[in-house]
Amino acid sequence: MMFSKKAAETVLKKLDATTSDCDDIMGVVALAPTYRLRLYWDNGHEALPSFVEHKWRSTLRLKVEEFIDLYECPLSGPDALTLTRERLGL
Amino acid sequence: MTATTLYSSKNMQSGRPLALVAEDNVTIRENTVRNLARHGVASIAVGSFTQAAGALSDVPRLDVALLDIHLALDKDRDDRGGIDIARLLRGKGSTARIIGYSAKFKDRTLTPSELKLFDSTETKGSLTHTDHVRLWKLCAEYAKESYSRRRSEELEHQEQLRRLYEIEVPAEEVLRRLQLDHQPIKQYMAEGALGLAGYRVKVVKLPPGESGEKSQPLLVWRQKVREGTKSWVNLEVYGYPALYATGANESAALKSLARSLRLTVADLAQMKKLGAADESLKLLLTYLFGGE
Repeated sequence: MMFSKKAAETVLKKLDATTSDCDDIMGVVALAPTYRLRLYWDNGHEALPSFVEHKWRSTLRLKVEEFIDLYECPLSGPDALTLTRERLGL
Repeated sequence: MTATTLYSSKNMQSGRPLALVAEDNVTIRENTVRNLARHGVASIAVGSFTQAAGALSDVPRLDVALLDIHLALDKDRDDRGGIDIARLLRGKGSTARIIGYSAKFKDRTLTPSELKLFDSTETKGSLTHTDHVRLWKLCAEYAKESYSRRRSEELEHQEQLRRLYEIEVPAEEVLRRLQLDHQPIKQYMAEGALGLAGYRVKVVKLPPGESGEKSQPLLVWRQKVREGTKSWVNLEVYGYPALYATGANESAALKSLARSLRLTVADLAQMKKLGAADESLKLLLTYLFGGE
């Protein structure tokens, strides 16, 4: 399963992340007033390395299947955020 | 850590799923290898049980096996060499999915325990080109799924090892090691599995910002990998797993890291109150960029 640029955009959109206007390289997900998750990526390629996929997955505390679900449809953004908050103990 | 894990750490850098293809018909075998390659799957191709047994003794973890059940080349065995290969794989504890097919045997000619060895079988007595195309596609699908799972486990493992390494070798110790010689070196290979997986610990200088702002030198993990047809350089700030970047080469990765660090500075500046993790990030970034 290749983590594509499109998949990354879907994840950011689903999580309602704010992205930098000038360079789409960081998405910020606000979980709490003092807790923000930062998802870095580089938009120079169609495919992203597994390193980025792994970083996003571990930042969001999602299992492989859950993360795939996040960009392939079944898991909604709010559900993913609830899961993340639970796993981070927030 | 076992030798197998170490071997697989190194193997993951080749960036391709691995299939075992057993087929006694040379034309079909070559077609299969070629078609799997088109799907990005590397193959070890064999024509008999004996060849398979030899090849498997020196092969890292397989992702999938596509086995012709009837292997005529095994003269000294019965003609179900594919079943013996499946038994051998299961006996070795392989978790690779096994697809069996045969133009000679039908489902009912195989015992339930023989059928159980396979995750999928195509044994209807005759196989058309369309059947083969479907098998190749299924095989590639299984291979990619397995590889993705394997890669993910490997990355998890490497992440844990890096955290342990950072506890055992704090940044001050890394810098001391780098300055031991009269001519200071700028990088060294991490010991053990991390080194085998291509990790280096390195002091880097970030490229200046748009207005020419400079930064302090920074300690990073650097890993060069190849995935599919692409090469990547992954960077992670030593001791700060949340700060990372990638690029097609080291200078692109550094540029990306510099941009993401500056964006983090901007993001932190927007927060009214910082949590513990962000406080620590802010300390590092203030050291790095000083008065920016």
